[in-house]
Amino acid sequence: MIRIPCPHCGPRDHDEFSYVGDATKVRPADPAATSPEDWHRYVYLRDNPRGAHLEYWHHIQGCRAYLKVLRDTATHEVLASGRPEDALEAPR
Amino acid sequence: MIFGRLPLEQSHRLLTGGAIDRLKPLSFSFDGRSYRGYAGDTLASALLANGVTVMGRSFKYHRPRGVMSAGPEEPNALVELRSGARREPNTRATMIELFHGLRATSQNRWPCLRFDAMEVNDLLSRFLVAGFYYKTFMGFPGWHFWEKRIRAAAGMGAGTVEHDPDGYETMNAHCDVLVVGGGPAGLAAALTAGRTGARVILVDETDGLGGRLRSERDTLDGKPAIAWAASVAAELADLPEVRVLTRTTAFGIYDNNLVGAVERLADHMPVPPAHVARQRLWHIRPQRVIVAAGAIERPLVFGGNDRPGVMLAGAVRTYLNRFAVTPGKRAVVVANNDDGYRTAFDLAAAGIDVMQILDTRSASHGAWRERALAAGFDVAEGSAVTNAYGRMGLVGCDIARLDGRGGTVGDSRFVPCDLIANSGGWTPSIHLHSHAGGKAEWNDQIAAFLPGSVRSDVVTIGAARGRFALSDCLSDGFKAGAEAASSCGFGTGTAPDAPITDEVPTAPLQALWSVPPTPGKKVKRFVDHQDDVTVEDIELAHREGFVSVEHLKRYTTLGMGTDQGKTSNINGHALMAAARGQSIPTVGTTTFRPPYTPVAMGAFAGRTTGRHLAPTRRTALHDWHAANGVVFIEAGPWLRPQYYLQPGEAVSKETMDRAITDEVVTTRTKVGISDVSSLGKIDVQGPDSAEFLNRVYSNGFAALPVGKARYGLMLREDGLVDDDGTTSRLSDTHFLMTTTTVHAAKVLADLEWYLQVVWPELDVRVSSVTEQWAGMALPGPKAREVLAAAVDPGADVSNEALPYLGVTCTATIRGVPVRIFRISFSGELGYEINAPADWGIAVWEAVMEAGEDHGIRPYGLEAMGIMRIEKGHVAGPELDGRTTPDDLGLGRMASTKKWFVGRGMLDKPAFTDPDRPKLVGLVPVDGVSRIRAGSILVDDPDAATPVPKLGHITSSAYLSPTVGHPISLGLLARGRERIGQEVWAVFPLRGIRVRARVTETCFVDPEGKKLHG
Amino acid sequence: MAEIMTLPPRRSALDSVWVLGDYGIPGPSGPGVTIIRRLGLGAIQLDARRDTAAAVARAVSDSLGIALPAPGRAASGGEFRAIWIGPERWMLLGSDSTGLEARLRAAVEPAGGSVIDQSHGRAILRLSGPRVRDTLAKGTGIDLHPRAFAENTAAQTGLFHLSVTIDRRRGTGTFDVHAMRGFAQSLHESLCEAAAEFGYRLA
Repeated sequence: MIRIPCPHCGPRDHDEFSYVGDATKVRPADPAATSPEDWHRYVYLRDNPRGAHLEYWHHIQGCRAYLKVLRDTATHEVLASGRPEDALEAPR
Repeated sequence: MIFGRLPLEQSHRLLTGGAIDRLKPLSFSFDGRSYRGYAGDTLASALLANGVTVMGRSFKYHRPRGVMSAGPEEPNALVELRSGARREPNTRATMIELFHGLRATSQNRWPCLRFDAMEVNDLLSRFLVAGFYYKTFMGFPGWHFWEKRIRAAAGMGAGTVEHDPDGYETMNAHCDVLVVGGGPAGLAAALTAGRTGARVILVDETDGLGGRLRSERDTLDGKPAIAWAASVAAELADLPEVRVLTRTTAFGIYDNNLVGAVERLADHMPVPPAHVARQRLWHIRPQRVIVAAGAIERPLVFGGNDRPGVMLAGAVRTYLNRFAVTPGKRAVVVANNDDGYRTAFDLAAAGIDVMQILDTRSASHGAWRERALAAGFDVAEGSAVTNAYGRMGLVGCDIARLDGRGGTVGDSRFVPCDLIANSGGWTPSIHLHSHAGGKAEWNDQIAAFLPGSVRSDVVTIGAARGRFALSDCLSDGFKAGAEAASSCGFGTGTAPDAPITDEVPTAPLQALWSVPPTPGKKVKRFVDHQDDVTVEDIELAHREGFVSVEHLKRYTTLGMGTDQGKTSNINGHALMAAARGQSIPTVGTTTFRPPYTPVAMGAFAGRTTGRHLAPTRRTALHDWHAANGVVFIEAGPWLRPQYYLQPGEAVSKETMDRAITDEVVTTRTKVGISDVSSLGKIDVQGPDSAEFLNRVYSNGFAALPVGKARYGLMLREDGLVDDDGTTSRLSDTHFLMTTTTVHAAKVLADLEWYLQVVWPELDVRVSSVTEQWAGMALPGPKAREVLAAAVDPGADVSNEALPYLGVTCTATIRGVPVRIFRISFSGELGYEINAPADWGIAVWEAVMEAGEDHGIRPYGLEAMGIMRIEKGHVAGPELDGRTTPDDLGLGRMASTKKWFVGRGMLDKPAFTDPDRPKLVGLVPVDGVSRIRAGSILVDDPDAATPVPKLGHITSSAYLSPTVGHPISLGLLARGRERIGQEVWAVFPLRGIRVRARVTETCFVDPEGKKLHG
Repeated sequence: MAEIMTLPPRRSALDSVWVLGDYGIPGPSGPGVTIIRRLGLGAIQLDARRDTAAAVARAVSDSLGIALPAPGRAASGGEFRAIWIGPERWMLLGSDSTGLEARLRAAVEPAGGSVIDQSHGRAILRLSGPRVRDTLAKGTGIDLHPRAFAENTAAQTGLFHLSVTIDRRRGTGTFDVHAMRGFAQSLHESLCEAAAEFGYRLA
């Protein structure tokens, strides 16, 4: 059970959250100007890194905010968390 | 009396001493024989008190085995406890607290413990080496034949197949400091931390506090150490922020230092009291963990070291001092450390003859040895037991001098004895340290692994980090407790002075991983008693090329029993290292994984079983249905009406079919009413709401007029259909969206995603209002008349005022403000009425009353399903996450005039492939055969396999009362081109094949005249 | 209006299972937990946006006399209680007779807030007694100790697998639990089973 610091509610057990996906993927801003290849990349292609990974989580059983989480996929350590618009960096 | 025979005398019980309650005798039985023990006994101590030495049979060779330890590490004395539904196999007799009426039976023997037919395996043991079964039987054509028999002969006790009658539960706890282990170190730590006012939890797996102090005769400040433990326990009990959990095992540390612990609330009772769970699983979230889990003694590995009567020296002292039990009358003590001497003194004090003290060290000049010699014990240095004799109980042993190079010097000598107390040193319990990610570091001085890399939030102290002296344990505890509390903001971090001990200084041990056999004898030297792994098995594994300890473990099964190698791993790994000619740290150790000791699956499940597996959701109209003949069906978390029985009817196939048919016919010919409260309802507000809906729906919403509803289709980003429903515009900036029941939560989460992450610039707020409103659908030719009669005066529900897809929020029914939507899922003239939930039943009853003259009746999910199939409306089985709008015949709902979620993917080649399955109707050619949902559509069911699949049946109505025969919907390759043709619908699992004709999807009123009427 | 006068009584989600009495093993000084239903309450959800939150808060304070609480907090003011339930989102509670929804709507809509009536969509239980924390701890992972969850602390969290609001009221061990109406019976069952070993009273 990992603890995820919700930027609004504080640290909570991960079972209050649902995992959303890779937060390094940015939805094409102008759909009309987006090529099929770019849609394909956005919809289907994901890296599977070992180590720090930027993710979206949804505090679905809590405040219902989406948050960004920087999580180490090897240790489950949550390195940073914030709002969707925040740029997260791993603490040194 | 519970038992037929009188209890036998406790022949091996000392007249005085021990922490047992002699005023509370308890009767119990083992293998059907009655015995008596005392409150405070374990099953093992009570059996020993009655002279019972054989408690089990070994796993592979079925050798008679006695109890080896007095704690959780016990590999031998595993019994089946209780009977019937509460039968529990493989429980450790050393951990079972005695209760009145306890019944235990030995296991892994047939027909009985004294005579076990499978003991023949012991004679065949030269064939039954590591890997025997696989080497012999695998690859045989008949492996499956043999596998069954091998598994029947192997295995340990048998679990019950009955439903567990007891309850389990979960408890969450938070604290500043968690102390694991209530021995001297843990008590000192908990006390120091607790006195600062910090929130402290102390757990101990036994029934009381004190740990080893309960088993030894130490003093503190001149008084028995156990009295100090009692005074600490009393003070802890009075500290308001300290919680002491006995009978609780901290079995694992997980992510973010979540500690799992299992509390045995009622295992020491025959059955749990009413309202009390049998076990409770604790999720403890401490800021700091202090692991004071102690150490586990290692046996010496010598010939016959598994004979009943060969026991760990520390366990012998436990039985003597804590339970006042004499495990033998004539003892031989053998050790590679000073604990042999300590044990000899305790044995002598209990009046047991110590025949011989064997110190396997070549030369030891410590204070303990001096004391032993001065006391007149017969001490032999550099010597060991080379073989022990006695199948059902020890009769004696060979002893010999060791040459220090793996052999013996001179002749062996036979010494009669019925007890061998042996010690190969102590292994610190670093399991929790290891779970927390800590490394293990080999230490030559104690010949064991110590906690290596130190983490500030999980510290290991006392014997668990190899500091075995009582004074060290205490000082560790006081220091760690003060530091942990202070790091959480409590106290000054200063440790108090520890009480004074009376310890005799100890001399270092000298590792001895196996004792050579008696010259000229064939002996079995057991490393892992539970799995019957011998020195020879490990050497064989080495010869066969196994290098890694992890492979050694899996090949020989070393350490793979229920005890997880607590007494055997170090010895086994050391022997492997010796065979490879390498050092122990090079060979390494296996990884410790939770749980530390077995935890019942029931404890993990807790309350989340049966009807609590998931919460149940009830609609606001539930109580009305329940009082009116409903049969409920689970739909996701919801309980929804499946159909309604008439008064006096019982559930049967006939009554069900009749009810469903009547419900459809009544609705199509008169009027019906059904509970649609579970449909998702999402309130959408804000100036940008119309723009937002226009982006998330594939069809247009920007121009929807106020007071109108529109059917909408939502796609996923990958272009597949996500959900559908109607959305109504209540004002310029206010919409009410509806979703399918199943997708309600996901659709809301998706909308929140777009608003929070993708388009934060849109000023729109979305909220679920599903629970606020009771929903009821009112379809049928008479629906308007019924509605007109139900609404309070002043509301106009005429076709002109409330046309198809019209919405009104101003009407009331019985004074209750309701929202009325002229929409229909059944294809009839219909309305959906939403009423605030607490008034839902009142409104429903008003509509029922208004419809009485028109023959209104409620209908359930089955009738609803039939009517929507009759109309060819898609639902869950068609919205299966694999279909595009065009597949479902809804291609026109994907706008070409605007961008919407999913549009970017719609043109991909896979979606425009003309061979894609399309939604069609299918009816049996014979007019009567039922087509099962899930049937595969093929051209020729007799074609060579694999038969090309053309599609499948998604939904089926076994009888459409409206058209008079079975109908179904299916997805069929090039389906629309095949209308009028025939295919086969096959269901191979049931051997069913039906010739089906492909039709249009809509079977009733294809022009939709009824809707607008 | 005439029809308002004749409104039928509100029927709570627990009407069919709420049998007054004492259950389980009573503690030394009576039941460990006492549970009452908070009936006849209006529960009105208020939404703002980051750029309108301050104006909305001012409007609420001016018209209802209650300060909208910060994240993780609840507040009482006059006859109302306000609970933070999400970013720029609050739940306001007041008895049916206060006309809360209309007053709130009039106050906040001009300031850019929006209002949703959830009065019938929530079942609200008040739990009090010496063993309340132990009972709730069987179903939630959050820390309810007074040091971590003082008076006027509120949390959106999971309780026995349900999404709930837990609102710590004044007095030792008094908590309001708001659950979705449809799950009210499930919550009731779980709470009663969890509290049985301490003894509980349905009042």
